[in-house]
Amino acid sequence: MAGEGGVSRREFLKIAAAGAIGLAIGLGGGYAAWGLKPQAPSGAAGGAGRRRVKALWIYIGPIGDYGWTRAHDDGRRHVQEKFSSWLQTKYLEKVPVEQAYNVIKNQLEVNHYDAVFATSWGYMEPVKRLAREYPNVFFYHCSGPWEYFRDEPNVATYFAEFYQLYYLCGIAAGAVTETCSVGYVPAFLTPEVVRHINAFALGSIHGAKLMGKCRDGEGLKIYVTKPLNAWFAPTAARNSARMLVDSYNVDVIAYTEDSTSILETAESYWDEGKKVYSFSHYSNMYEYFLKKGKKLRCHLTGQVADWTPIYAYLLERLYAGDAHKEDIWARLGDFTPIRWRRPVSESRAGKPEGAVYLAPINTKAIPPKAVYEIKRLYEDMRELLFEPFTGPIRGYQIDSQGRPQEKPRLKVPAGVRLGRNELWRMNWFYEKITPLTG
Amino acid sequence: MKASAALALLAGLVGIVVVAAMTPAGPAGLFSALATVYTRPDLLATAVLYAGPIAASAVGLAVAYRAGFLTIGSEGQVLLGALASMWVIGYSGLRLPPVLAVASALLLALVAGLLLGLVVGVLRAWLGVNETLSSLMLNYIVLAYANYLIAGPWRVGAFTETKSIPPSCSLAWPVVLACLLAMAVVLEVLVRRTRLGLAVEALGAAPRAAETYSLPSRRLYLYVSALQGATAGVGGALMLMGFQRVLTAMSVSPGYGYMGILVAWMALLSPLASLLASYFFSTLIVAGYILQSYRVPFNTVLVIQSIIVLAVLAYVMIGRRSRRP
Amino acid sequence: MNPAAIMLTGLSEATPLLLAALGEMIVERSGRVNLGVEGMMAVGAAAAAYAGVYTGSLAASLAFGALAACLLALVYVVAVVILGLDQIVVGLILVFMGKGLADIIGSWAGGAPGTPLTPIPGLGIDLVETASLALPPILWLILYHSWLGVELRAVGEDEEEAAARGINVRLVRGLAVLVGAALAGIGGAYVADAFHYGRWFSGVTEGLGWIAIADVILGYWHPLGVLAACYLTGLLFAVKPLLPVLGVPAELVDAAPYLAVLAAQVVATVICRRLGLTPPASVWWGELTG
Repeated sequence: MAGEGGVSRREFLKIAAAGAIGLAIGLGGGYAAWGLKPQAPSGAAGGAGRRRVKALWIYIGPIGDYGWTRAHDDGRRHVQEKFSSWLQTKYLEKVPVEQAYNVIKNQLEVNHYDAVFATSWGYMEPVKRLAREYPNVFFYHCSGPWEYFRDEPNVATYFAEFYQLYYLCGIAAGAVTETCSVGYVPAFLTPEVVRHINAFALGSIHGAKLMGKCRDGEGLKIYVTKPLNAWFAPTAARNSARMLVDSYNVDVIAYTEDSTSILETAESYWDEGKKVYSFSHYSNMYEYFLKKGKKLRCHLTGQVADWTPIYAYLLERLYAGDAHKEDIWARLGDFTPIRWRRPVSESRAGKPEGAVYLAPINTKAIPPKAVYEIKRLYEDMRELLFEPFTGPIRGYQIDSQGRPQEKPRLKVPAGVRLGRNELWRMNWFYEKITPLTG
Repeated sequence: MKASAALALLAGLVGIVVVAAMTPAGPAGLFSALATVYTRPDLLATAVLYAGPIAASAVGLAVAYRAGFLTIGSEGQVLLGALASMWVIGYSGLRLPPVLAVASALLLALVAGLLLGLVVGVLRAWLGVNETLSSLMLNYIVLAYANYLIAGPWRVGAFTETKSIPPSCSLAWPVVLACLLAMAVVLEVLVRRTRLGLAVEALGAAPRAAETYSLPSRRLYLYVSALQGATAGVGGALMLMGFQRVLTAMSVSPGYGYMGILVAWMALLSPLASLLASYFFSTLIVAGYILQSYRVPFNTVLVIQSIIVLAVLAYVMIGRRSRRP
Repeated sequence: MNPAAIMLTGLSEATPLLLAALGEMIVERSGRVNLGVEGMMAVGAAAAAYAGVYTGSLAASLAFGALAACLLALVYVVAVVILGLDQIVVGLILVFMGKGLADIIGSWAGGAPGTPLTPIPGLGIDLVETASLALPPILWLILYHSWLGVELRAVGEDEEEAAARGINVRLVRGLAVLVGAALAGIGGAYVADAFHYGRWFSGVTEGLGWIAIADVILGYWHPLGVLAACYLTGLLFAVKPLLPVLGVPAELVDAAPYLAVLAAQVVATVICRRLGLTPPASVWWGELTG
């Protein structure tokens, strides 16, 4: 094979020439047929209304995940349809954090966008840098805290919040578990995921107590696996879920991972004759599988986001020339026409409304008493009459891998409700949680 | 036979058109994205940065392949080089002035790559362990080690990422180009003008033949593997300081070292030609980033690169055969 | 801990490896090495998911997986078997091509769930698992007790002598490569269909192809040896998620299969040399020099 190395220079030049001619023909044809030619930049930001808006979405995972990224892409497609007369959208999927800066910059240079939606926590640093370099582009960062972008006038932040819905999913979990063991597979232990885990854990105790199971919730085991250290990690998520079931006798699994992997793993246990339950995450996965002709038996309910109203609101402002710095933290009741609580019999829990809502409720698996409780609290929370994080709650501080850093102590005093700032900095686990991190 | 050699190149072009037609952008989209890259100075400059780790891997691999040492460890060596530079700049506790920090990062990356290359070389020279498979396993082991550092000791915050290197330590494209040129020229001279180069060539032809240059083939394997690892290690430093800046958890390694393998073969194992070929591959990468917004999967670039290399190799092979009596 | 569940998981983790490794074993027995297993598995998984999503038939899904891998392997047949290009280089090119093509084909399926492969009720293992367990003994019979096996091994051991005996060397090799590709393709299809509900995502078969190649060596090119090697690697994969609980950093656990393969490769090389064994596929045992 080293013989191939002994090629003469003439030979190499010949190849290079042939390649160049081929390329030239191709380029000529390409330009004639179709152009990706640079376009003129549109009007400056912050000024009067624009005639057209070009927006770019950056996704961390593939839109085929049917979870987090799919939910954002559904939102993008909906606003594209809605504002088709003046809005032009594009997206980039599977953009790794460390490449985000170069990739987005490249796009801004070549295609000149007015707005960039960066939809992953890890894009914070690149967005901050780009916002300074491109003051005429408006950036929207999803899930980052607004404080990080305090000095950037052209960055707004937005997020659809799930801790309330996780509490309700927890009630369902506590009410159906037969092994008195539930589990949670986290992608990372960011404050967002930690508060979701705690809400789920608190809810599952509530559910078990409600049904008088597992010694009134005292005997309920709540396992949290080691973080996957990736938002999109179907294989690792599947392995963690299988470990929870096979080695820890868990029969309800909640998770933060961007794909349908854990739901599928739970469903495959039914094929083996074992009842294991799980949830929708970000997208209505139950309906999605139903459309593909598959009725999931493992699906209890779940947390779903509809980004459309948030995107519509932000883009309309930009179009009107009124884009400015803001922070959107959408919870139950936000972006709904009327947010006041309804009677339980008229509750829309399990049906789409607003920016965040509950996936269809599996009334076959969840006992009626628990379904009633879920609907009641759902309605109460729309009006903020009930808060999952109401003291007394005891817990212990953890590190980034979930290892306990202290003995459990009182984290939320009796009668106190946690506010946004405490929730966004949460770095402790509720005391009943057992982290499986060695 | 001349015609059939040209046929190989034509088949390659057809292959590229077919692959492009399988994507939403189509062949015209691919070629006009390339045209965009080649008509914009800023994108051409960016392409030099991406060429850094690819070319650095390729120049060393070209020498190794001449010796018949078929390592594919450049991927792991690039990653280890990047880790070494990251350590110097971010985690060593040394507060070096920028120029010194960059220089020592380059040096340490070189040493790290060299040592990893030597592991493969020692296993091959003393135990006869096949270098292709062993170097591949080392790539995955380095990947796991990188992920361990990023998720564990080097982690900053809740998210699995390291510190970012400061802007003062990032390399502009002329610096990257200078590094690459230096390595390529040295290796080209080594291959063409030195006794070591002749011995390498002979080793590739037949392991025992190298001994005629009074260089034991065992020692030659060590030289070659060290050299190959060192250049790839430098590639890691160029990757980190050229455009990456921060390391995050990876499910697959970045892939520049693997591209270096393709480049080395496409350049017909000439270090200097590897430089040009890497730059061409790197413009394909930039075009790939543009095409991503047209829903073209980024790895389409890999297919196109593979086809080009295959066509070139087939062209050379057929051409050489036809010259035989 | 539940040993029975882990054994069963190990078996299903071993299945894609076993299919691909047996295929590669056939190729290497014909005297060539195809390093492109990783690429063929990737394409197999993507094509299987795509076919599964659009036909809804499991059989079509598996068949398309095999077919797509064969089409990719045609590149190898033309370049190596017919044109005589370097087998190692072309094998690597197949890996890159396969990964890229898989991303293109997979993007057509868009991550939709296709045709899940579920266990046979009461048995705990699925159809492909069962078939893959039956494959090693069958291959053993073919390799050592049929004219086909004799011809294949003849080509692999001494192609000039085989040609002198009137065997069409290129034909035998070409067919071996295609059969190997079909098995690798089904292996990839299995990953999508059995592990991920018929769904594809980029990198779904990441790394498996390389481990399959290593398993061929560890199994000493013998069907039953390959079976044992694959099952052991499968068990390693099954135990992997449990190790972080015991305090081993998960990222280092990820390195375990590769470390094990590297160590085994070194030990196997040394032992073979001590015993003076000439393995059936000597390409892996470059002349010891110096």
